[in-house]
Amino acid sequence: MGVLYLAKRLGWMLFILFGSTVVIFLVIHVIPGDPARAMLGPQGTPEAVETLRRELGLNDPLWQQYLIWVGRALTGNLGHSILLSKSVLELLGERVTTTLLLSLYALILAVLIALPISVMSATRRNTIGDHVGRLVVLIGLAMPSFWFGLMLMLLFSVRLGWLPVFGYVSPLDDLGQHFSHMVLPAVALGSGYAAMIMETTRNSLVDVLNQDYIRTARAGGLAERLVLWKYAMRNALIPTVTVIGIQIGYLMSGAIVIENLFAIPGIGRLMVNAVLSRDYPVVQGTMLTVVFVFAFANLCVDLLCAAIDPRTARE
Amino acid sequence: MRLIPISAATDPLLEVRDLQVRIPTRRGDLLAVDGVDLTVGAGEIVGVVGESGSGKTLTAYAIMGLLSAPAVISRGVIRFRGQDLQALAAEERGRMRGSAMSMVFQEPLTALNPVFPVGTQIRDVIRRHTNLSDRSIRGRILELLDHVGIAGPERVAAAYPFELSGGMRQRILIAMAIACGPSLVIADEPTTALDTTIQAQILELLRRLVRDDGISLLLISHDFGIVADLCQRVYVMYAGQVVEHATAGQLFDRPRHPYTSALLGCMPAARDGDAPLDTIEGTVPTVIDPKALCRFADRCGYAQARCTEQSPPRQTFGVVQDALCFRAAELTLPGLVTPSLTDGVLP
Amino acid sequence: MLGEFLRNLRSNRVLLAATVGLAVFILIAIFAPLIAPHDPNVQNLRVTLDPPSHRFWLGTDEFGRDLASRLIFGARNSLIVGLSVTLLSGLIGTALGIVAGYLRGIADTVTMRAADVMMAFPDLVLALGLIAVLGSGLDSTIIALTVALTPIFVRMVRSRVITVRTEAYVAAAKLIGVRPPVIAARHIMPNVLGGIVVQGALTFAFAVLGEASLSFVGLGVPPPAASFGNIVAEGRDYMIQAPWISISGGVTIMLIVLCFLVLADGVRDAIDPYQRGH
Repeated sequence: MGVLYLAKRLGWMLFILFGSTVVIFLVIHVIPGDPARAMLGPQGTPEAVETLRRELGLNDPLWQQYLIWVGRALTGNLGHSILLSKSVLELLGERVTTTLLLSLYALILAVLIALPISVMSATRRNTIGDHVGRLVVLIGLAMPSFWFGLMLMLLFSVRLGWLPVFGYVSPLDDLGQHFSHMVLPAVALGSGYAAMIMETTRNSLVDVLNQDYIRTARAGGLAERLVLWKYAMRNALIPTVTVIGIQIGYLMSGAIVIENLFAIPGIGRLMVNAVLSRDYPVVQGTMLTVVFVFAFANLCVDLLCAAIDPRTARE
Repeated sequence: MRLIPISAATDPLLEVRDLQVRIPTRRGDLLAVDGVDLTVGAGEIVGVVGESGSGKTLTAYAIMGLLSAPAVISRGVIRFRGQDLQALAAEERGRMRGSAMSMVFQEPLTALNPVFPVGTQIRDVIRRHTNLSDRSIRGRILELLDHVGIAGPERVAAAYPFELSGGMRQRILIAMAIACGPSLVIADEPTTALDTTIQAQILELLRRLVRDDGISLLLISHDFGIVADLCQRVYVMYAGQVVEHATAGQLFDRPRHPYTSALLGCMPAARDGDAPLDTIEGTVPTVIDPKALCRFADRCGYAQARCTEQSPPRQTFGVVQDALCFRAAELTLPGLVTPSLTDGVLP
Repeated sequence: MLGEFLRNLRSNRVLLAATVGLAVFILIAIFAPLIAPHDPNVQNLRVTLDPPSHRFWLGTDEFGRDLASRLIFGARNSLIVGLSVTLLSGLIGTALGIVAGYLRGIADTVTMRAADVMMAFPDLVLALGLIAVLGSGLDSTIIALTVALTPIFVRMVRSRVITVRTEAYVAAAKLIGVRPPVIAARHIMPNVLGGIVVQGALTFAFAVLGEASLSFVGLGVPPPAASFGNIVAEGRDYMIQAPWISISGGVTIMLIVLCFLVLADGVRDAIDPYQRGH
């Protein structure tokens, strides 16, 4: 893999991060409505609003406000929460690991479920198994993850009493409890993601299995196992990995809702609470964190793609 | 100049009898290959010629055991070194593919896996059929690449297909095909996708492999020029049937089937001076409900009433030649007139 | 394209069912006041959390409101959000996509880099950021989801335009001096239209899901207005006594989204029957 390619992807990531800070800044500052007034609510006197505006620097020119904000963000100063009397960085630090773990479990689960089913579906095309698999994909795509989570909760926690209803335990405190709290959220979050992976992998594998090079491998007498898992899979995985990367965004959108459903103290829940209470520094901080994680995940996926497919890196 | 006997009367290496390949479709079963007889003797180069859709490639796949669903062999026998291939278990058949018989494909770009170095792809084939150590496999790969005329085999073995030219890739595919010392190589349009100069080099390579390594070659092509250049005997296929079988010389001198003659008329070098090239009107029919008629009748300039009423008989001429036509004996059909193309074929 | 779609409709029963399902959904949403057996917002504390019965087809919620009626009016809100978001992002996305894909150059670069940056935000995160400023409500939900779902529209339209504009007939039109707006309307639009319809159906599905998600976390359509997300969220607290509240809300969302996904698939097949791997 070329150093040039790596540099290109890194540069792209930096551009995206820069662009996203502009978007985050504009969302809060340009949209009609006065953040200071919105924060204080109807009770805020004009004097109080003016004081807050001065405190937040809202009277300075926009570009100056932006530079100050970005400059501070680069040094880790994301401001203070208006509501929780803690620094935003502190709040994020406490929660980001939880969200990352939840997303990671959902991702692993989704891949483990999706790959075998899509291989089965692609190699036994138009059999009952294939049709059932494709129906499951459609339902998985259409089902709201929070509702699926609620149903899982109803069945496994409320009715059967196998798992805790909600809440969160850190893996450092009790690993077993941690997992028993994370199972249902991860399944709920991973289901739609798994459906997307299945759809992509099945279609790309069907396509790959019709390629000339698969016939060449068979003409060489290679065992069907090797043909499928090495010669076909390596090619079929290229679109799959791409989708896994792009849809990490979907995973993070889902995490926001799932964390609220299962009362998991992650950045999704933090963000919703911040939006509800118009705690703008926290809203900005969570948006920034999510974009950073998403961009970094995509960088990893790009590099993984280049490792799988030598053509990408050398173009 | 050819010392290899033309007839394959004694125990052919490959013998195909009455082969039929069926492809079920919504409108009924398609007879893609219908009653093909074909033999290849040891050390022989045999050609199969026909337009696309004539069933020549499916015949090759049937021999290799590469037919993919829904296509199936519905009738006939394929014997290789006297052994009935259809009686073999899938595992034994797999062990034979790539070692005793192997295949070279038309599109050297798409026929190689884009995400593995070419050396890896050759290695997997050798590893499948031998117990050589990785070290000796490595040596064998370099030797093979050298043998097929690749300079700098070390570098090429580590390269990915997209880094190599079309001619190089075809040499790689040939190296892969001969890696485990096959006695039969089937080459399906091996030069169609290549430049003319590269074409000549690849054909020369194939000729050398037959001469030096004792390989038999079944060459599938739509191009009479290539067949004329290389083959001793030729099968002409049309709509799933062999319509004519002859030595290359007989075929170009005195074709017995109107289709053969028409194909020869389509060759750029076939006609004198400024005479326009012929074309055969219409397309190869797909045969779903075989009726008793000559399948070429609707495109044939010599067709008579009986051609659309009965199946034509196979008439033989001399030791080798036969044709599937009512009028094979009575007609004197134009063959190939330009001598340059047939150099090295005619005595 | 339409002809091919209608032909597929006849042979593909799943597609037919989805199309009929969507028609029913739209009719219910439009004629909600006529169809709903009860007022969706009238509380009746004598019949709280009643199970499904003759009087209340799907039972009642914790305030004794008729669940069936609330779902019917929820469909109305869902349709308003879905349709508005689809039309808005479709119009904006198509316009920007055509400009970027047709003019190329600086316009293209600016538009696409902006779209890339927007797409660096997960849909719901961008929507929530906007709602933080706009405040929750039906309008804000529509605006937030439109902003979140437009970039993908731009990208899709642009890539189709670029494919079409290199076709010989477009080059020929340009050569004989047909003006760009005319080329765009005559030659490019019809070929991009199929993709827009597919993307539109998907956008509608995402908008319905997005509205439900936002409402579920309390930042979409504010209660007491009926919305699918609200219904599932309200039912969550009464999961044990009255599971039918959440179940019926979720199943309704799923069926509507499913219909749109199947429709998008059907249109895609109608545009290019050979494109798909089956």
